[in-house]
Amino acid sequence: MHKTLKLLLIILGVIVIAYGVYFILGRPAIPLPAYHFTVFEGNQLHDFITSTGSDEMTIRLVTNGEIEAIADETNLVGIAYTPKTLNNTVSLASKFLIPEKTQNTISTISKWCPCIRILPNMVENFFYHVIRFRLTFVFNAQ
Amino acid sequence: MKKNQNLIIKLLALLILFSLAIPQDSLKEVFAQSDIERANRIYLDVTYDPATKTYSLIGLSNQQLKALGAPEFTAAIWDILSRFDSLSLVINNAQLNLNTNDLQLATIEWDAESREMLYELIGSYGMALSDESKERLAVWLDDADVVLNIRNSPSLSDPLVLRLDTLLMVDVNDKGKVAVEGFDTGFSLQPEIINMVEAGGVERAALCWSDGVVNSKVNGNTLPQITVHQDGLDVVNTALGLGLGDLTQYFESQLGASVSFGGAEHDMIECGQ
Repeated sequence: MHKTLKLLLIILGVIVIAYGVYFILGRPAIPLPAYHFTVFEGNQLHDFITSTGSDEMTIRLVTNGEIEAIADETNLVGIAYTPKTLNNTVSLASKFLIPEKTQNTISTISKWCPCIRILPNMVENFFYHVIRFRLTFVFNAQ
Repeated sequence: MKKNQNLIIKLLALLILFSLAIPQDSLKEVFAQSDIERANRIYLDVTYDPATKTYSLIGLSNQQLKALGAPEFTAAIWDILSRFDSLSLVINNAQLNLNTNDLQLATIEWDAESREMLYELIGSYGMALSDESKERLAVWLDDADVVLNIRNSPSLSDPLVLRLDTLLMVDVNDKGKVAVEGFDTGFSLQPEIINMVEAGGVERAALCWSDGVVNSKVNGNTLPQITVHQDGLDVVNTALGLGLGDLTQYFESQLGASVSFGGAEHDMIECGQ
């Protein structure tokens, strides 16, 4: 067998086995380093954070469809999404946030190049179904 | 050697297919919810004290109600109330019962004749019911389990129990006028809100709050489910001084509405997890 092909098959085999183990373990979310943000006085978010009795609020996003807001070790709000419901939200929000002209331009481009719609969906589904990550955003009020 | 290579390739292909054959729907979505008996349960308790001329509603004290803008009872109302120890109205799908001082005062059986009489009575007060409204009223009455309890007592009233399985039908016309179950509320949406709805191309929406879980749909498209935690809302309620009272009642209640803009068809939505 060609050496390159052999190597490719070995690499593929290792990836498949590693993913198999990850799958058997229940596809746990791989934690990424937390991102810290400072919120200064005057910002609306500052008032909300301090009103919870804590100087810190954490937003945790797990790519399998969970978003949680936590303050003072208490869960405030949880959001559960699927790729479909997330797309619905993005579509709805874009109608309010993006000017109509821009929306029409995007629509025209996507007719010529469907990858504009397909690629984000693929990425979204990949992180939802295949490999999951946990992103943590910590907001500190100052 | 070639045979082994082919076998390895086939096995790898199978493994890849297996690992990517992830079910799109979770088990929760695949298996439908069990058939739960539908009911529109409302328990509303009011206590009043003629001596101090104060009243309590849904577990809120007189002070809390005043802060929320609740009206004062007139002297005539207090005069009437002071003559009773208790008054209760019980409505279910079979009959309406009116009791006073724990004695039965009136019972109306909910047959077609008595319902028609009720509609005529409502119509005589200037609120003529369309066939559609009568149909909706029948839906509500068929699943009704309503208790209105008014008691002569200085203690706080019981928390509200509100579990409605039937969605409230809300219609908003082109001018922003709001009607609930076919009845004009006299309330209109502000022009800014109407403009926003038009800009977003929103024709219909459905929303349901059930034990802290919010499900919503816009134009038939389901949005992410939001779960409001009671502990979290407790913190925010205390910190911001919202004065929401006993939060337990909100997290044991269910209420949903289907809103239609400009005559569009109503959307349906499932409540809860």
